[in-house]
Amino acid sequence: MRQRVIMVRPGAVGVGGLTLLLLTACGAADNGSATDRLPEFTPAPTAPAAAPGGSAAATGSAPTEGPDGATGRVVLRAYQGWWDAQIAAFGQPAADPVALRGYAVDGALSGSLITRQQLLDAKLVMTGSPRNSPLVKSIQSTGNPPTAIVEDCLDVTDWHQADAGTKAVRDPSPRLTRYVATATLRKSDSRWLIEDFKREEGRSC
Amino acid sequence: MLRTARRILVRVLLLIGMLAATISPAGAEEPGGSVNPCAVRDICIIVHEPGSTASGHPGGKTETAAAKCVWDGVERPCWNDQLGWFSNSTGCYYMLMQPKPPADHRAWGGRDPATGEIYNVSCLDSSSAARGPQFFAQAPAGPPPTDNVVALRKEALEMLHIAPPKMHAAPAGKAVVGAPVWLWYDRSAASVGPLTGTARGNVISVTATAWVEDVVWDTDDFHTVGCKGAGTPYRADLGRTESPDCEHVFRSSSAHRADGTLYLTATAIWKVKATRSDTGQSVEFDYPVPSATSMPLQVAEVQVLN
Repeated sequence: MRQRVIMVRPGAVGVGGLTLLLLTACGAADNGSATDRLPEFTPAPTAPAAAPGGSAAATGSAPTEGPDGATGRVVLRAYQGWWDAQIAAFGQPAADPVALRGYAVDGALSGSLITRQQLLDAKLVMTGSPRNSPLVKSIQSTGNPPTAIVEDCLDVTDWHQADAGTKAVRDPSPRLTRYVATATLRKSDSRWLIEDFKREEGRSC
Repeated sequence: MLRTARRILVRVLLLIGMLAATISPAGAEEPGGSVNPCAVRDICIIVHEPGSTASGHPGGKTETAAAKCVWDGVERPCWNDQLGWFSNSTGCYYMLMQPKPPADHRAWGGRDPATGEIYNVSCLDSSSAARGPQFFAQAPAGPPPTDNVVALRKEALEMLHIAPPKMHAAPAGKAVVGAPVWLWYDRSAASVGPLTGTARGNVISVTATAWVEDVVWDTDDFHTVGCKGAGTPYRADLGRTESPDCEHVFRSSSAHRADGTLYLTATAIWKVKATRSDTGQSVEFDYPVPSATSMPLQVAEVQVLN
């Protein structure tokens, strides 16, 4: 189910405000802009223009400074590179999706490849692009292999399924607009590869 | 009063929930009656119903030899170069992971790798939870055909043994605000290319050629510097000159940063061209290779000596 319980402190807002909050939370999947008022998640700028240090502890994310901060920016660059490769691959599903294999493995790769296959099967392409606001949540540098968790606030409002020939928009309805997604990456030699990608469609941001 | 309002709200929520549940999860009726399928799960609302997940235990090895592979009434090739063998019973593709993932890969779940294989599973049914690497004691599908161009490409790329950049800066360790810092990394065939490797199947082979196209330095001062290659190593006899191809000028000191130090990284953006021998067709793609560690650098304000 896509409904979820939104916890609102009764004292924090009036009844009218409470109504609005609950309703918009419920309709989050259909109306992304209305979810903006839910201060659940503070998107961080993508690498390399990371927020100056200090805010890291407040959002429960990995350090943005020091050696771990540098690793985090490499992780974010890999994550954004994967999205750029996906946007390109889904924009031209008939082309060889070879670039995806440079960024993703395992479940994340199979997810990208099946999406590309389904676009091909349905004679669709993706137009526009999603907006990412990824943030490194944690890095386990000493693991074998080292791993990292990236949390993204994914805004897919301007990313559309379209007819491959006419480019007419053919979005599913209802469709998602904005939600939280979590990616797991692992280090292979010096490269960070996306191995898992989980959408939390019910979690607005 | 507040409690009553809440009770009403709960009812409204339930009603909306019921309405939402009647909406088809995977497609939508258009006025004309056609349905827009959910091709990209990143934009679709998918209802995960208990029991609708593919079991991960398709009919067995013989099934892949079925004359026809059909999904949603549409026939499709049973083998897909990207995804593997298709199973009619689960609606999933199965790609044998070769070589076997290491024993500590989570897909083994602690099992002895001698007891089975790991397949990467990709399902057309968007509500299916079966996805990614899974353990199978009995093969759900046959091995990939030899001469699978995707596997040969991967093998050829691995044969190149691309080395990550080993970074240097001058001045090393301590720089000064406003003065150019030279940036470069150790130059070798493995770190800048061109590199070539050929993976041979039974009939076709794939040759991968790779070279560094760009290098992106993350200077940890909210800037990135793009360089065309490995950069030029600084020599003491050059004195106070500027790097001909790769340098950065820091505008503020690192004193206020964690341990007063910046940590730089460099990512070499390789271009890889993979060519198959039978048709001569080639694909080109970017392959970024970052430095394995970061390089510490302190940046100090200019000290005026009297």
